[in-house]
Amino acid sequence: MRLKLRYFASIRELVGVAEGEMELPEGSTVDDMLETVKKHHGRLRDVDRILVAVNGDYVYPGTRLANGDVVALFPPVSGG
Amino acid sequence: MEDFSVDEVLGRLRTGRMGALVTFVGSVRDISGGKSVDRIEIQVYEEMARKQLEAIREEAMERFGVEEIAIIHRHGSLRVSENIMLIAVGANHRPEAFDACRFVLERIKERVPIWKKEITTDGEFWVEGEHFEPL
Repeated sequence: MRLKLRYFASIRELVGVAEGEMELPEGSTVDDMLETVKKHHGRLRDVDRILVAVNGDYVYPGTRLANGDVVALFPPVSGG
Repeated sequence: MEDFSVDEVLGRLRTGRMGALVTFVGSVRDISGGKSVDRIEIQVYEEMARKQLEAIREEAMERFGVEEIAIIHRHGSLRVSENIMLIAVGANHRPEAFDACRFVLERIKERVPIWKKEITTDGEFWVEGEHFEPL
């Protein structure tokens, strides 16, 4: 399956791009995706606080992803 | 993003059923962590922020039984003393208006995907909020 990735704030600066795409085996979870992202972007390995949203909703590490999902990675938010 | 007018928002929000209108305005502060702030840059994940804000608004309306809630959050480059955010709550009475306003504010700070970067005399720094378990 193919995922669309979006990065924000300090995470965006660490990976150096705002968006990307990723191919993962069917049945992959959020945790699998994170592992693969960290393999591509080594600088994320030292970041211990990454929030993940899929199609605009927060997800569990074990949530299964689906083809076409938009996955966002970002640090704890600081609006308001 | 253009600034908002509190009066204009209250004018649109207000109905005869409201005995209380509570507003919260967030503003750019000149000092942060001992550093002198020149301006801030606000980044937003717009599609998700709109979705989360709508969910927060609906939850607060139901939970506190208030009449109406308006939420505006600016993004882009903002100077010291400029408005960042407005929460306006209209309710029959003041207790639920204050409670709903506080609830919306805390939820935004916790889970709406918006980030501040402070441009200071000592460099540029992303502000990172408290970590929370979103589910």
